[in-house]
Amino acid sequence: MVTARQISLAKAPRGDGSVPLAQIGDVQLHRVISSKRPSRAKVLVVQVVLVAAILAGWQIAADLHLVSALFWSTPFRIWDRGAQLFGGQRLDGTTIYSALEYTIVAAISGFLIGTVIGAGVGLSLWWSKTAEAVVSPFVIVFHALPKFALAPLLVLVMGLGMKSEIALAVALTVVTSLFTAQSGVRAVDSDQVKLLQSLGANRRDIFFKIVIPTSVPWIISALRINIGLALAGAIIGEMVASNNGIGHLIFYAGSIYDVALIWVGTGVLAAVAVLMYAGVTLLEKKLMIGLHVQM
Amino acid sequence: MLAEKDLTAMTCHKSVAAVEVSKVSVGFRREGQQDLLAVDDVSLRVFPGEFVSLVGPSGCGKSTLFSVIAGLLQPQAGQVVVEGTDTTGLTGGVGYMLQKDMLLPWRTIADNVGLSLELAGMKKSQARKECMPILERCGLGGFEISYPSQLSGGMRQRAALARTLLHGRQVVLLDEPFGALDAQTRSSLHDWLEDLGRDLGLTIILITHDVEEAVRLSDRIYVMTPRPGRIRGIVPVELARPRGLACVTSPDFARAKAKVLSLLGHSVASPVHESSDREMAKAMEG
Repeated sequence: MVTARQISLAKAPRGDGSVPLAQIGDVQLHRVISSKRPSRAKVLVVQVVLVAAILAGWQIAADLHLVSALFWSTPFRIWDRGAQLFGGQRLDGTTIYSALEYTIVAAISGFLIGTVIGAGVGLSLWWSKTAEAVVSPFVIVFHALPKFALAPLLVLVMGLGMKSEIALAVALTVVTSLFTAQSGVRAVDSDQVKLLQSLGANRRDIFFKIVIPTSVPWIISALRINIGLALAGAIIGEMVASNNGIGHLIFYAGSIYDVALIWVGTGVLAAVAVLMYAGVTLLEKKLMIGLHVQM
Repeated sequence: MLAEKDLTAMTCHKSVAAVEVSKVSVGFRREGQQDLLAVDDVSLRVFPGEFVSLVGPSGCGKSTLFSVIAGLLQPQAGQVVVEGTDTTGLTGGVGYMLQKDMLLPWRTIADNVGLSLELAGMKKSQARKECMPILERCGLGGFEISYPSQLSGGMRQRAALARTLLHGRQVVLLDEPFGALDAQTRSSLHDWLEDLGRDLGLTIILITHDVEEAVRLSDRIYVMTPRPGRIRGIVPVELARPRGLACVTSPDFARAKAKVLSLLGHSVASPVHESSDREMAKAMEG
């Protein structure tokens, strides 16, 4: 028998699992599971130091002519360029603010239109197995096709400007939401369908009361992927088929060897992408809670 | 063992059967293999207010037979008559409940229970009001705006039964409704179901793997053979109602149980005369 008195807690250095933490009679107890998580502050400090080190290294290397400032620019120059732009400087007929607005409007429009059309088509294929069988190979071909190849065609058909940009964003997003909606439809529980039928449901009831509620979480889960794709579509569209927006700004900067401007554009784009992603993630969470489903 | 004829004679005081299944056979086409005969020439007759159980080894076609009775499956041969109307291949004639509660997780308990009313065209708000009495009766008062995930297994099964009952059919099919519950919950639901069935004058057909459950609840037990499912025998249970938990120890209970077990026991290769739970379990697995 082991009595409580025999259990002696030994003081052990933190994080070192090899030193016994307690003893029951002759048996030594070790902690194998690490309960410590890195503290947030610690991680943040390391991250800030890392970024600062990279920027400082870059600046020093450029000053010492180890890195070509002409091709790579320098952090200070990029900072100055950013300050000029956000100070309201006009560039190729627009400001950074109007370019930002342009890109965001195009990306979000493409995201919404693509998601709605894709989800709508994916869901409606539930109604007819024949239609699904007919459409499937075409969808797969379209999915496999690098959609940017469509850009020149879209410009010819829709002209330079936001329309072709949105069309490209739609082309990128539509297939993802179509596929996820279809997966959702396939996840419908056939016993649930049976049960509803036994309560007198017709096909329409089953579609609205089971198929759609089952598929919606699937569609929502694709939103995060789609916002990234829509932004990519908008940016490429701006490079090829538009004279406004962040994509155009970056492209324009490249053509006039304004490397600092390229960096500013890229930085702004990264910020937009992160904000959109965070926004959609928040939306997703809200929707999921509202729907009372766990994925 | 009683033949179907003797039994009809025994219970013929009620003229119109609540459910009459006559000579139903169901086969499934299988690609590259011989077609599978799941149910072979099964007939049963259940009178209003009766509680009848179907027991048999796994895969003997009990659930398939239920699908036929519920009109979800068209049999290759035979006919289903519910309360005097031929309902073969027609849904909506009977209430139907499965082992899984099948509550829709995105609907509240009230909205789940009121589903049949909504499907009949009633407004959601009205359906919510209408389902209050049955929720109370099923001990779910106060849980109408809870979601299924917030309820215990026993409560969910009661909600599922409430949904079935609100559908308003006199005949209710229960496919292993208590199979996933723990013994204690199951036992309390047995009492509850017995009361409820009597109060509402329901005709209940129950599928179960649990022989004690069948004896405890049924007026009559149909024992089925392994695939293809046929009726091997019918065991009447003549225990006074309400039965309560105490009936489990009575000699009549033991006799009925032994009879069912011996009928099931014959389903294994060697004939068994004295059956026990262990042999029963073997028969189930086979």
